[in-house]
Amino acid sequence: MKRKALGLVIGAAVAVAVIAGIRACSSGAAYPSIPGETSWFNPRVLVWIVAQLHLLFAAFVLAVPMFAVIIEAVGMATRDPVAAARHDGVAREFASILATAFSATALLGTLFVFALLAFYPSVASYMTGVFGPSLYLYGAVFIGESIVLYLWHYGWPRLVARERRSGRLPAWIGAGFALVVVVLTWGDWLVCLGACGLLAALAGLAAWRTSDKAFHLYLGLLLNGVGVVILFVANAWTSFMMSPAGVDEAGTLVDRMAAFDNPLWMPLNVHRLVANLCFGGSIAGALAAMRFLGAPDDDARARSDQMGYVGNLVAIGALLALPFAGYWYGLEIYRYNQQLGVTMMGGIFSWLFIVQAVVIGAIFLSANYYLLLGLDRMEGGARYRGWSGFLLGVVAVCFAVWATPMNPVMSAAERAALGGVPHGVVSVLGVMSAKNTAVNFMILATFGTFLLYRRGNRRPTVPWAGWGVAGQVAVLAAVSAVVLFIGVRGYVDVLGFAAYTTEQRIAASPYQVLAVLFGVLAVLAIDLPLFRGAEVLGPIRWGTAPRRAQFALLFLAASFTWLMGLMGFVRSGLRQHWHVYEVLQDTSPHAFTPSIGFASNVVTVITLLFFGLVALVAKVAAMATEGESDGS
Amino acid sequence: MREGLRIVAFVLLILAFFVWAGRAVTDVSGEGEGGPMVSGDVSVEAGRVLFWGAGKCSTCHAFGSEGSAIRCPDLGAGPGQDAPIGVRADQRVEGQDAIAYLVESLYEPDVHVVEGYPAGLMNAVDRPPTSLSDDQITSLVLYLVGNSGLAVPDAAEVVRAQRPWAGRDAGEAVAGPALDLPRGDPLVGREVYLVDAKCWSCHAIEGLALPELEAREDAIDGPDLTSIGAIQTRDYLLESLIDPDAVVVADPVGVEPGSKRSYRTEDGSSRMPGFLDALTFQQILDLAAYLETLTGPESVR
Repeated sequence: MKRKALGLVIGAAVAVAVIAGIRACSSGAAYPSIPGETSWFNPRVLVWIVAQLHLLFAAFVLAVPMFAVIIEAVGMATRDPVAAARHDGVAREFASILATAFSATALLGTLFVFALLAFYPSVASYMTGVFGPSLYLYGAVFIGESIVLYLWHYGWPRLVARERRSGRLPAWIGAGFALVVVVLTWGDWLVCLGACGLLAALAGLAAWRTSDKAFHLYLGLLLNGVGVVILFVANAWTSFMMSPAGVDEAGTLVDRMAAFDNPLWMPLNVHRLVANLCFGGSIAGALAAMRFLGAPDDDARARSDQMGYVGNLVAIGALLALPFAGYWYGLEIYRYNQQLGVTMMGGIFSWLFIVQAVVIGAIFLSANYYLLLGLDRMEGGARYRGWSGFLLGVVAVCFAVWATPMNPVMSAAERAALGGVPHGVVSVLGVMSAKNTAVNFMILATFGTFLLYRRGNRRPTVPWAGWGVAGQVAVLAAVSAVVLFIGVRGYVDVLGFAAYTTEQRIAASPYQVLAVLFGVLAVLAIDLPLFRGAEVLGPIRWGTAPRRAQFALLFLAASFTWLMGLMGFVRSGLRQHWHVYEVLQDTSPHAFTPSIGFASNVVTVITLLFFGLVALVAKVAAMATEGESDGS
Repeated sequence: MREGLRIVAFVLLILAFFVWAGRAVTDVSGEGEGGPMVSGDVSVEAGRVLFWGAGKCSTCHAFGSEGSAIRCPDLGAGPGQDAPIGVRADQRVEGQDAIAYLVESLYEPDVHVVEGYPAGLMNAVDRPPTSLSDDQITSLVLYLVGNSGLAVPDAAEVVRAQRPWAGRDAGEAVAGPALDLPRGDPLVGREVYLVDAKCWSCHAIEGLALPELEAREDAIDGPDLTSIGAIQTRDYLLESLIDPDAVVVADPVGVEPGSKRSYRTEDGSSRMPGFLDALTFQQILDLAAYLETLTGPESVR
C-alpha cells in the first residue's frame, strides 16, 4: 500500500514536470521562462537544483559498488568463515540500497534532461550536435549498467558457492592476453574499446570457471567498470563546456574526438572519481549512523556500527587523495585558460574557497573525531587516545591556517583597528606556502590517526617490531621535516638555502605532496607485515560506539554533500555568462553570477532535498527487503 | 521518532552554520546579490551597481572604507593611497586626464600598471569573462570619478574617451566623431512598438498586452524581445532599427533560411525592414529607449 502511494507521488511529480516542460517548450522562446518566476523560482535555479541532485545520486550509486566489491573481496580472502560471512553481510547491506537509489538517479537524470530541453533548448541542441554519437553510447552503457546491477544484486543469494571448477586456467590466460592487448592499444580508442569488450568477456568466463562466488565478484567489478565509463562519458560533456576543443571559433564541430578528449576531461574524471568515493563513503556512513541510532537490537546495532566504520574509512581514504586531485584539476584549469584560473582563485570565486576551506576542515575534524571515538570500542584502544587527541589538535591548528585568508574577512572598522591590510600575522598564514604545508600536515595527521586506530586492539609480535615502529616514526618525522622545510622556505632562508621566489614556491609544492605520498606508502609498507599475526588484545565490540560517533558520521555526510554542491556551483559558475566557454554565450536574463550567499542558500536547499530523497530511498529499500523476507 | 527529529535538527544546525558562513563572506566581500547585467542606464548609480555587483570590480578592489579586497589597488583614500582614484588618475600619466586614464585602464589594463602590482592581473572589462558593454563602462567611469568626491563628469566626455575601443568586442572600432544622441521616451516608444511600427506582429514580449489591430502583412516569427534590454546595448538596438542587415541574429537550430521561422532571407540578409523611412528619427529613439527597458518578464509594462 505504502509503495503504491509512493509510486503515485513520484508519478505525479514527473507528470507535473513534463507538463510544465511541454508548456515551456511550446513558447518557442530562446530561453523559455516560468510564469511568475522570481529570483528563487526560475529556470536556472530549477535546472541547477535538478542537475545537482542527479549528480549527487549518480556519485552515490557509482561509489557504493566500489567499496561493496572491495569488502566482498576482503571477505572472500578471509579464512575465518565468521569474519568472511560478516564482510559479505556488510557488502550486501550496502548493495541493498543501490537498486532503489539507481532508479532515483535515472529518474532525476530524466528530469534534468527534460528541464534542459525545456528551458535551454539551444544549449541542448548544440551539445547534441557536438556529442551526438556519445549519447547513444551513454544510453547503451546505462542499460548495461542496469542489467549488471540487477544481476549483481539479485544474484547475491544464489552465487555463493566457493567450490572451484576445473578448466579455469585457459580462461584466465585468455583474459590476461586480452589485458595485454588493452594496454598495448591504449590511445587507439576504437581498437582499445573492442579489446576491453574481449577482456570483459574472457574475464567473465574465467570467473565463471573459477566459482560462483568469483563470478559474483566479477559482476561487481564489471558494474564498477561500466559505472566508470558512464562517469567518463558524462564528464566529457561537462568538461567540454569549460574547455571546448575540436570546434572552430564559431563553435562548429571540427573534430569530435578532440571535443571528447578536451583539456579538462581527464583531470575532471580523476577528481570526480575520488570525490565520488569520498562522498559515497560519507553517505553510506550516515545511513549506517541512522540505522545505528534506530536499531531495534544489539545485532542490528553491531552491523550498522561496522557499516559506519567502513563508510568513514572509505571517506577518509579518498579524502586523503582528494586535495591532490583537486590541485591537479586547478592547475589544468590555469593551463587551459589563465583567465578561468584567475577568476577561480583570485577573482569572483576566490572568496568561495574560504568557505570551502571551512567545510573541508570540518570534514577532516569530524572524520578524525570519529576514529578517536572508535578507539573506545576495542580492548587496548585507550593506549592511543592521548596521541589520537593530539593529532586531532594538529588537524584543528592546520584547519585554522588553511582557512585563513590573505585577504582577511573583516569590516572596514576592524581593518582600520588592525592598521590596514595585509595584517602582519594573518597575511603571512594566508599565502599558499602556509596553506599547502597545513593541508599536507592535515593529511599526515589523519593518516596517523588511522594508523593508531588500526593498531588499537593489537600488539605486534614480529621480532623486529621495535625497529619497525622506530622506522615508521623516522619516516613520518622525515616527511614532516621536508613538508615544513619547503613551507618555511617559501618565506625565509632556511639552513643556508635561499627563500623561494614566487615561481619556485609554486614549483616546490608538488614535492611536499610527493613527500607525503611517499611517507604514507612507506609507513603502510612497514605496517602491513608488522601487524601480520599480531596479538589481538580483544575483539572489536561492534555496536558499542558512542552516540556522538554516529553524529560525527552525520556531520561528515552533511558537510560533504554541501561541499559537493558548492564545488558544483564553482565549476559551473566559472564559465560566467557562457554556456560553452567563449563559444556559446548565455544571453538569458539569468546570465549573471549569483553571490556566494545566494549560492549557499541554493546548495542548502539541494542538500536538504538530497537528504530527504536518500531517506525515502532507504525507506523504500527497507520495504523491498521486508517484502523479500516476507516472500521467502 | 524522537531520534529522527534529533537527526533532522542536527543536520539543520550544520547547514545553518554553512549558510551563515556563505552569508558572512558575501557581506564582507562587498558582493551584491547579483542580478542581470545593467544595460542602457548610463549613470553613477548604474556604475555603483556594476562595481559592487555584476562587474565584480569589488572582488579585487576596495574603495576606501567600502569593501576589503586587496588583490588590486584600493581605489579610495586609505593606507598607502593619498587620494581617491578620481584624483590620482588625473596625475598618473602626463598629458592624460582622469577620464582618459580610467577609460584606458578599463579597456587596456596593462598599459599603465600600478607599481607593486604585476601586469596581467586585471582583464579588459569589455572582454570575457567580464564582458561589460560600452555603456556600462561609461557608468563605471562616472561612478569612479563621482565616488572620489569630484563632480560627476558629462557622460559624453567619457564616451568620447571610449571611442578608440567602443564596439571592439563586436570586432570593429567606431570610426569618426562620437555621436551623442538624445535619449528617447520609453513610454512613447511603447506606443511606437504597438501602433506605428507594429513590431508585435513579428516579435514577442512576454506579458505585453497587445492591441486589437491588424498585424503587418510581412509578419514573420522574429526573435523574442522580452529580455533584449538585458543583453543588448542602445547602439545595437538603434543600429538594428536603422540597418537590420548589420547584424542578423542566428536562426533557431534546424530552421531553413527563407522559411517562416527564419530571421533571414535566402541570401542571408535580415527579413526585418529598416525603419528609417517608416518612422521619424525621434520615434526610433523612443522605440530604442523602450526596448532598453525590457530586461525580463518582470520589466514589461
